[in-house]
Amino acid sequence: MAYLLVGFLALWGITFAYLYVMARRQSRLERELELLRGEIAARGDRSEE
Amino acid sequence: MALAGAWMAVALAFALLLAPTEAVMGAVQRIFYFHVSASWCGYVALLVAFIASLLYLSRREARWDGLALASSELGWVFITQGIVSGSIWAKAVWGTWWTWDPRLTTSAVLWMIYTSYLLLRGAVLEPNLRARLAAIYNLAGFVAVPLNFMAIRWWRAAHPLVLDGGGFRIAPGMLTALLVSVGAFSALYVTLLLLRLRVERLQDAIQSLRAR
Repeated sequence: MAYLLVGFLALWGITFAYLYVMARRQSRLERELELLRGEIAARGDRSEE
Repeated sequence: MALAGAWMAVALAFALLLAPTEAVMGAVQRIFYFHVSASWCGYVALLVAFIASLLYLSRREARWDGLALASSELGWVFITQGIVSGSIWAKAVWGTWWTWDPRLTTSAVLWMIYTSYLLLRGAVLEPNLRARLAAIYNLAGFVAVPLNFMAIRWWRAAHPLVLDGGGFRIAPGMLTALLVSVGAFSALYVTLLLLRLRVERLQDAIQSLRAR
């Protein structure tokens, strides 16, 4: 029974670790993209002035 | 994501509660439902990556390289799950974490091939060269997948054989639990693939904005 528990914990541990890493990376990239878009828009405004 | 989660909960209920207990191994045999499903999804993910690499080499479109990377990475995750869960099951049933059985040996080779694939991608900086090299490597490395699948059919092995020319060699109640579990893992694979592809698209969008 202990091996069954360890087996399931290992399986779900790997799945959730991957899911967690991907979700974090996604939110970091979304923030980065927003910042970049903001920077580009600000640059565009300055060059128009 | 919600569908994959609900399906996985049903698969857990089948594997832990509804499937009959195996007479010789007892409760630990229930690892089988997720061990086989993870390995199966590993094969499917690596097959998708193989096809995506073929498409990249014939069409040179970056989206196929992105799909090959996403699916190879998931294939690596599922193969890792299969090896880890199999090793825990082996310790309970065979009394050892690892033995150089043909299936286990080819699984280790498969795992190392795709670990190297991911390392190779990280080592080449020029995007077009990286995509081309990775696609060629993926086509060559995929040979290990059918070899791993057939290992217990071609050579004498301690690893059990569930599916052969005569069909499934398990009780009907176990087969139902296995099929539900394979379905749940397939839904999980599709969910994770979509998430991984979204991350890939975000990275591409950031790179193209920076290049402006």
